[in-house]
Amino acid sequence: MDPQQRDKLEQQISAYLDGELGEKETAELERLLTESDEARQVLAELQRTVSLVRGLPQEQPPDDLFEAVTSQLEREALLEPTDVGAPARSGLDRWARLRRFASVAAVLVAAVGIGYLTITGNNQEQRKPAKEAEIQLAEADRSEPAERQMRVAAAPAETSEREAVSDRRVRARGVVVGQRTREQVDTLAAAPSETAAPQVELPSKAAPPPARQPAPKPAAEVVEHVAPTPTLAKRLTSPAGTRGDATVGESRLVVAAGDHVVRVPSGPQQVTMLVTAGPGKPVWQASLELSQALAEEDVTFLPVGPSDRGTKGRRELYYGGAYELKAEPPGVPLYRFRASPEQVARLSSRVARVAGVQVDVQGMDGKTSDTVAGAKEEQRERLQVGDFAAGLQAQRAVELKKGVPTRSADVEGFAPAAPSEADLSAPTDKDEAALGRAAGRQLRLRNTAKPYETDTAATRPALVADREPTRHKIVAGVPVETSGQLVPTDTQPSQAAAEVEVTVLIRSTGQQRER
Amino acid sequence: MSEPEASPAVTAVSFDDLSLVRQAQAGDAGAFAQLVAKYQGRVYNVCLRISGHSEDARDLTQEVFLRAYSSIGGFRHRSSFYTWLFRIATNVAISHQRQVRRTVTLPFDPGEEAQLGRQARGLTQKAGNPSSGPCERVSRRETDQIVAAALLELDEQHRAAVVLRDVEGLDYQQIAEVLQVAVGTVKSRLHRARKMLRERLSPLLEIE
Repeated sequence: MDPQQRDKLEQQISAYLDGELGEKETAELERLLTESDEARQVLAELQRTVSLVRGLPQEQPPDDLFEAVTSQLEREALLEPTDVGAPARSGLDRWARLRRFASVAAVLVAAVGIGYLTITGNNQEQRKPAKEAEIQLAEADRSEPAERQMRVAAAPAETSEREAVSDRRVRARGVVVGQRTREQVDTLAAAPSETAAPQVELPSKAAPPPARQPAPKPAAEVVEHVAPTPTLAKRLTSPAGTRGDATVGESRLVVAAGDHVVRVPSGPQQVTMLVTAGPGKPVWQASLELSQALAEEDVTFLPVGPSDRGTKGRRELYYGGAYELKAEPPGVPLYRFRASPEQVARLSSRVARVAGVQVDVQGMDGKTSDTVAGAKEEQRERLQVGDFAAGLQAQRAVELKKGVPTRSADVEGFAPAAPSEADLSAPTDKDEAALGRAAGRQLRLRNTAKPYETDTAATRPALVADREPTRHKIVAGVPVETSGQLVPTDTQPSQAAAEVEVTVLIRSTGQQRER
Repeated sequence: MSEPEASPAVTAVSFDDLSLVRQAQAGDAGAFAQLVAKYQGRVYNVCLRISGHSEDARDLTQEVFLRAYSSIGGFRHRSSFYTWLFRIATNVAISHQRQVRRTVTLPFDPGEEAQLGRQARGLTQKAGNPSSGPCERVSRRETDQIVAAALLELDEQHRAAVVLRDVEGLDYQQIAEVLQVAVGTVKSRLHRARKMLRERLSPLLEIE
């Protein structure tokens, strides 16, 4: 059989396998198959090939896909007219449609077990009808160019230009505060209030950006839901199409979860997160863990403090800052960021647990601080995680020194006595010394005698070791879970700010840095 | 011989789609959300097999439904809804792939393959469920990885044809509608794609 004939035969067999040959062609091919070994060989190989492809598993879509799609659809419906065959609608019609969308979506989400949507709770007394808000905002729009009204929420007046640029990178993120469902919020949003709507004023052209509030706001701040009318949506969208928060008069409009918009008083509550590293707990562990946790929470943070001293100052902080930090009570400013109270709670407890340091949050509403303190209890049973995380942090230190941008690195000299996964899970003193050498500093790995298996899967670092005689590759994954258990449950939604502004101070009560 | 199974189910599904699509066209976003719930898995898998990356597939699936939503008013019921939806999905995924052109690393290297096996075995043992045949699962998983990687070595058009046929189970006519090519082209693309796959997967074919 020449190549051309064989090619044609293969094409026929391919179609035959799909049941796409006509009767006559099928009969001819089947006759050929009884006569030709080569044809049967081709058939067998193609059959196996096709069965391998057809055997590929149907992957489950991510759990949050439906919510992501419907949220995005809501956003699109909010922002742009579609060619859905209905006639032109008013903003109220559109909003009514969206609310119906949201409620159906919520039912569907529950039905497929994906979860349910939460949205910022509000003070019902402060609500106003959607139409009224739309009229006010429409009037406001006519008096002010849209692009000047765009202001990213996290830019306090006195931040430097560089910080402001970083702030502009703050993207619309899901701020979830409180425990109300979207349906509850929608119901509330639809209910007209008897109280007068607050006057919405726009900053004049010459008006400076609002000054950051120096003192903490009172706890009972009002977070008000705002109907996302097309006018408002436009306001919250930059010319480049980026979603962001906007400041309107004394209020700040924040794009919250699912693109619901809430109004919060401008000038966020000021919160201080004091990180205290004790003996044997290098501050760089805490600062690295915090920066990683912030990145994973999608929180944009600004380095403050030692960065003023340039790269060297920051390196000192990472690698041996204990000595210098002692000289600056109560601590050295490290980062500044804005986050929801829940995020602050998660971040604090995570840093406390993983880096093994003390984290005190001051100025938070409700019992958030207590909850963070409660995490210290949990820390005890997870000491091993913290200890083992110290090894992972050693690896990260190596990465930093090498300038490796990835989260994996080769650690030379890490040679467990009897290489096995169990040994890697329970580092010995020898491992500790080797890791310490690799990290360029002494590490303390406590409780190494305990088996690692007491940990739960959710908190277990992903660890894979490639065992060669003298060189071991460690690939570490995300070492902690950020469980909702640590989220305060008794903070009243109506009293919780959508975001707080957090200043992280870091200090050490430890030894002088090692040289 | 049993009764043909497909017809009633297909009719029911089509009718269901038809009413949902008409409601969506009339402005009922909830109806469209139901279509999303119904088809997100299939669209995700098409995007996954064409893009080869789960994160990309997630983003692409979102993009597909966004485009579908924004243009559903123009859907004229000349084809079934899912054919129309898959057309969007393949266009989006192929277009994305052309932009990205990611390098695909095939786990054909024996060392890497062995390492993958060790990792998977280790994980399986840690999971502590020996009765479910960890070796078989590991082997199957490795095979799937190799097949998926071989699929990614095809160019986008051939890959899309294979995905629509062998992963999604569409017939030639439907594939032709989705890809907007002649049925003969579908036939020839599938033939060429399978030929290439057969060559790349020859070690597996011999093992089997």
